[in-house]
Amino acid sequence: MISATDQALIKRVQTLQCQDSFSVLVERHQSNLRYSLRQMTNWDEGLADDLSQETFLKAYQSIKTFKGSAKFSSWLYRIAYNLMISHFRVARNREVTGVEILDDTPSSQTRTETSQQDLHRDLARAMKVLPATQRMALHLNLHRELTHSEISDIMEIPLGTVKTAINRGKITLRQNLAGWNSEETR
Amino acid sequence: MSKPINLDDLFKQARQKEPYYGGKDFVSRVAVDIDRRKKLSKTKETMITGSAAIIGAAMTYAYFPLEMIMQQVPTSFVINPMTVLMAAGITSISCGFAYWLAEDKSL
Repeated sequence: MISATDQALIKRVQTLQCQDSFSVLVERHQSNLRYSLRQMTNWDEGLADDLSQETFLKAYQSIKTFKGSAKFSSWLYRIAYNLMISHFRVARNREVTGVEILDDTPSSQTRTETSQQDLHRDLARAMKVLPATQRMALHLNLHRELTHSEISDIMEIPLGTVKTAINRGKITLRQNLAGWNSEETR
Repeated sequence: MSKPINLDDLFKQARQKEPYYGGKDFVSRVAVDIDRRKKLSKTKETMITGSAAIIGAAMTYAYFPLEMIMQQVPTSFVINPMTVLMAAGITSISCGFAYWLAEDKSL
């Protein structure tokens, strides 16, 4: 079953509700998704893993709606993006209503890691200031190498908006990373 | 003046150095979560069906002309070949329905 294609595994889950097949899909896609969500959440590993878990759960619950016109990974990114947006919306409301003030300052551990010029964490930190749409579009384009059209499908926004988000994101990211020395990470 | 950063190179570097996260613990956590939600939805389904059945039974008891119907029930039955055939038919249909219910996992 390990060597079966995504399509074959999805078919088994859809028709037989085979949880083992779904576990193979999770195993196959979890690392990429967890990394992407770390990039989206300022390298908050706990939050990224919670969102990833919720993404796979939602995917399992609505697998019958997956038509196979897009890649399974793209479908997962769409679910993850929507979950991330609603998470940040709830978090922002909490902050506004004073229920919970989100700790935006990096912990001492993060500070130590940042001082080590870790490329992934630094990228995540630099992306943090971008709006979620720009962050996701930029990550999918530059890191996952998806086309504008694929990103437009995943994020369910017009193609023009994707292009604008990527261009604006790039400008801000360049400013944020100005002076960053990539040689130190090699 | 520092050289402007090349984002394509930077992301290429990040892509090449992307860590792989071991999936065993994560996969089992997802599996446990799926089982938990399944049980939860089963309980919810049972509760909704049960509540509907109780409300239905209470309404039936309150409004149904039970006595009038009971009076129309014959006090004696005559068993003839037609009755036997009917009983066999009803039993077959019930068994068939029960088998279908047992086979259909989603119910």
